[in-house]
Amino acid sequence: MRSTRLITIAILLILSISLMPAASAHRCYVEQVGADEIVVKAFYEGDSPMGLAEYQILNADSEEVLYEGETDEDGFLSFTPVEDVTQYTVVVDQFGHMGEATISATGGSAETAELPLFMRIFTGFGYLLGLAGIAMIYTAKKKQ
Amino acid sequence: MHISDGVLSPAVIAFGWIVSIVFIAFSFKWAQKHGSIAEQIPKLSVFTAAFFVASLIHINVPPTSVHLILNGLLGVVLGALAYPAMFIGLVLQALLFQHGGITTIGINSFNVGVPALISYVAFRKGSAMGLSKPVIGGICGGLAILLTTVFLALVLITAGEQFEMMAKLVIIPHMVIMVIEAVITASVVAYLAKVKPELLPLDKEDNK
Repeated sequence: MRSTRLITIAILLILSISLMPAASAHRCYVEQVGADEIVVKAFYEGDSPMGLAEYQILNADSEEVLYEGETDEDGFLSFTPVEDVTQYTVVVDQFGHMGEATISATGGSAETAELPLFMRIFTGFGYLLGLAGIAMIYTAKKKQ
Repeated sequence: MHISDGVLSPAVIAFGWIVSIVFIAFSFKWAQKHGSIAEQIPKLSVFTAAFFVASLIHINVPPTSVHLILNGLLGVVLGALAYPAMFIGLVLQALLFQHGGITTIGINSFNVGVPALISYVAFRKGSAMGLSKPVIGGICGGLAILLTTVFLALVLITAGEQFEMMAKLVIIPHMVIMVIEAVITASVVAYLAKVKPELLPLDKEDNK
């Protein structure tokens, strides 16, 4: 069956693409990298910088905007801590791609645990297979 | 290419959802008219999977980074069904990769879906005129990216962005993607036209 072979080849190709170690996504990260003057780096999954992106620094408790500006070409931004503010929310936005992080004046940003990328890719394929299955059952029932 | 939550006004978000729902309904109607949907399911799943992982392949274009979209390819190969396929792909990307927001799935589908439909129409018209399928397929692959970036820029202008910044950060970096996707679409169309021409939505109509 030519079409089965074609589809198998296509699935294998997609799988091999998704397993490339260099594969990285357009998810945005915002992470603090310095302490005295707070230095923050904004980047996409795969470490490409979010250069010349708009940012806002807010007081995490009162949501008051403290600083606004644009990241440099390498995705860095820096600001001087404001007295009495311990938690800052940093929002970086590059043409609709938005990353957000809450950082503390003492350094470090909270990281959330999640599945590794390849597991998430397989999860997606699983959902697609399931959907295809449901659609096939539905169309088969209709035919009867 | 994925707009996050909290960037756009509620009116634009509502517009995206309404248009997307209308287009999805229309595309199923179209598919029913052009043969059995059951036969399309394997092809639909494979290309949705390709779209789903395409956004993981990115290219650094300082000061930003761009990724593959493949909406032109889906438009050319799936016809109107490219719209629901990409809608499903975008839902999975938002849930599993955090690419784009949940509220913006409607408008993000619009930004990639409408150019895909335009590509499909252009591909059909071009083929009917007797142009080489891979060449017209390649042009459609590039055209879809160009239209998507223009739509994206227009949508972001409603959110208060400036056009010059949009041109610098969205349209110009995506020229690289335009060329890559033109090549990918041309190769896939050339391969399908040679090996399994009935997989192209266009040939089926021509055969009728």
